[in-house]
Amino acid sequence: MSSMSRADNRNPNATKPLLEVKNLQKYFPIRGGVFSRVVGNVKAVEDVSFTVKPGEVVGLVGESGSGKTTAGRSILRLIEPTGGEVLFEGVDVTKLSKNQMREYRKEMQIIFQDPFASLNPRMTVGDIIGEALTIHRLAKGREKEAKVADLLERTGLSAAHMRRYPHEFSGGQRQRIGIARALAVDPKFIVADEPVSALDVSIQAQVVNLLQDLKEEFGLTLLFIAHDLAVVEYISDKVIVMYLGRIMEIAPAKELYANPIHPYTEALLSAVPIPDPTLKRERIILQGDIPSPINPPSGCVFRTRCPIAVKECADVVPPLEEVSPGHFKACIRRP
Amino acid sequence: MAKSEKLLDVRGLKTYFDTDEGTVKAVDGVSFHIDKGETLAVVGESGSGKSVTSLSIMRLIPTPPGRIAGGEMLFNGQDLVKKSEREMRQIRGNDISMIFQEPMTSLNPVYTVGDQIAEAIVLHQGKTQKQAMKMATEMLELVGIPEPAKRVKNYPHQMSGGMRQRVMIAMALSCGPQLLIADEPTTALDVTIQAQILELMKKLQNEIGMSILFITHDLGVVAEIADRVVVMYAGRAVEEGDVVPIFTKPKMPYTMGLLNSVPRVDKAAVHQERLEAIPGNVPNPLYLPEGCAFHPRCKFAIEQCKAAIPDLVDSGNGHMVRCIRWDEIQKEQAVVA
Ligand SMILES: Nc1ncnc2c1ncn2[C@@H]1O[C@H](COP(=O)(O)OP(=O)(O)OP(=O)(O)O)[C@@H](O)[C@H]1O
Ligand SMILES: Nc1ncnc2c1ncn2[C@@H]1O[C@H](COP(=O)(O)OP(=O)(O)O)[C@@H](O)[C@H]1O
Ligand code: SF4
Ligand code: SF4
Ligand SMILES: [Mg+2]
Ligand SMILES: [Mg+2]
Repeated sequence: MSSMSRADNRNPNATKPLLEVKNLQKYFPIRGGVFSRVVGNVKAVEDVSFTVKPGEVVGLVGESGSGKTTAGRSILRLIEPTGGEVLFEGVDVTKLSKNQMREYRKEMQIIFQDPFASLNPRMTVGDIIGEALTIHRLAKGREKEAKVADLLERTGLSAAHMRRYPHEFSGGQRQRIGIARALAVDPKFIVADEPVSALDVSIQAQVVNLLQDLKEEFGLTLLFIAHDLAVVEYISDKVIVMYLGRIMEIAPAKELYANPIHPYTEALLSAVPIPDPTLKRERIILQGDIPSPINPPSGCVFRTRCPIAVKECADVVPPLEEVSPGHFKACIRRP
Repeated sequence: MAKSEKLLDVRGLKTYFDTDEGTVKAVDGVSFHIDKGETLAVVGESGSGKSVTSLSIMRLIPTPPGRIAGGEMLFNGQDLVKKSEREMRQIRGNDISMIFQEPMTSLNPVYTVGDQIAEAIVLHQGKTQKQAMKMATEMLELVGIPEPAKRVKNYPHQMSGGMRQRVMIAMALSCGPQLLIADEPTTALDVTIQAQILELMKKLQNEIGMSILFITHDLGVVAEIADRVVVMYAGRAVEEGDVVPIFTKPKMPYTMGLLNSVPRVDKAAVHQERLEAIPGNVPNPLYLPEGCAFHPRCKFAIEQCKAAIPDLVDSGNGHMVRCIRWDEIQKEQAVVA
């Protein structure tokens, strides 16, 4: 399989990023009044910058409404970003025409959260997985069938499943089909938006393990979006913490969990329940909810819920500063 | 009658659904009890029968297709199975109340939250509208909603998910129930908001002293909130006991498997590279495996496991296990460790 040649993506010295996101911004206009004029904006993504190296799995976490999905979809241009650059192998894909973009579509795939809604119920599993091969004219006939069979086997299903329909599969199996579909065109980069959130605990572990195996096997480069910080820790090399359209902290996975710097990361981690009733923990319980992205707080967007906020936090947006190699934070009170 | 602190005693509950494809034995002989003032967690994967169990207690199973096919549910010594619909309505408004996963579907979008809480108070406690509105505001304050006098006039859609769940709790507690049934009350919420709600429920239980039946699929939440635990699989209770032994010395292979398959944030620095997943899928309730329903996925299964449904037996100190091999497995595990 041609994708095997990508195993060298995992070379740790390959420092040249595969993806560079610079000051990404996405506003959704709110229209109102008789003339349907723009009366405001949902500032879903305000300012997001990060890089992804080839072969790297980058986790993206944050509460509901922090802008994770919007960021992921803007990067793939499934929605048009309002501002910023998305450099894929050095080319700014936000500037490409529809035609030019087609070539890049093959390289950048997505796996969705809901394994029930994301597969066409009237198509066979074989057609679902093979569809992109046909669209991109990569394979047809017997060759296509062999490729689909191979993908099914690799994702823990069987070639015999090719002629069945999605409703005949369980949630975990459907997610495997979604993964096989994303892998079909040998993409260089995949956005997985909450790929295991809808699954049962025992099945979640199976799919996380599968993604980990595929990462090894295909040298996958993945942006893994999730609520569950424990799952993210397992699969990611590096983790990005988002809040209200901005990045609060970025760090190598192990370091983020052992040594969180930003008060928001700290609070998020402290809120995750741990399956051990003998453990006595000091909890940081954040007050209130995430504010509306229509009128985000001035200065540090986290300040309205931050346990250590001071007056100055309202004045300027804290820059994302590197405190140790690969560890970035945006907070004026944490050195 | 034996004197005990048991508030609810469910014995051999069977709830079946007659569907076109056959009879779904959603709950098939489940027994457990809840003492006064304690929190019992029921944990299991989707389809294991958690919600059907709680709806059975409330006698809210849609009939047809559903029916309570056997067993009894003694609430303060009286069998809920035998109650008339009129008697149940009385019990639901006063003694047992319930909150659900998605508060939006249980709140009426066209009435203010104040009106909805007050309505329940007028109906069940015979207060005047004015007294009830005042109580509604106090309830919102009790569940930690800021500016309750203002919020009482809000419609559900003007509130966040976490606030709506607080409103549901306020409504459920307004009648001063002896038992609160909470079916996945934090599943749809962010961890930060979940932490707030769990904290609130613990605080209110301390103050009010009610019993809680807490249904969840999240073992972390169980560890946080439960005094005792029932683990369900394919419509049956497979393990039951005090929370600490269930987590530290699980005896049923399914419980062990579940505990091993959850990634933990506190193990960040030391974690192994792979999660220990339970192989296979949750069984189809129409075609449950013969004998122990867990056998196709169980790494300890032997031929005999297929022969008959294992009994739920006391392995000591009231730690109940449904597995014919629990004793041997425990010895094996001890040797490995
Ligand atoms: N098409 C849209 N029109 C208007 N607002 C939108 C649209 N899509 C998203 N938003 C808003 O943008 C913000 C960020 O949404 P997004 O879905 O990216 O969050 P998320 O971090 O993925 O959340 P979740 O964890 O719930 O999936 C939210 O306030 C959301 O309501
Ligand atoms: N109204 C119904 N008709 C038919 N089957 C039902 C109905 N309600 C629940 N079931 C079945 O009963 C079983 C247990 O469901 P449930 O108690 O909702 O599981 P959970 O543990 O996820 O709460 C499932 O197999 C479900 O499909
Ligand atoms: S900048 Fe201020 S408000 Fe923001 S996280 Fe730091 S201390 Fe808190
Ligand atoms: S009875 Fe057999 S199959 Fe069932 S849990 Fe015990 S060992 Fe496993
Ligand atoms: Mg999302
Ligand atoms: Mg349920």
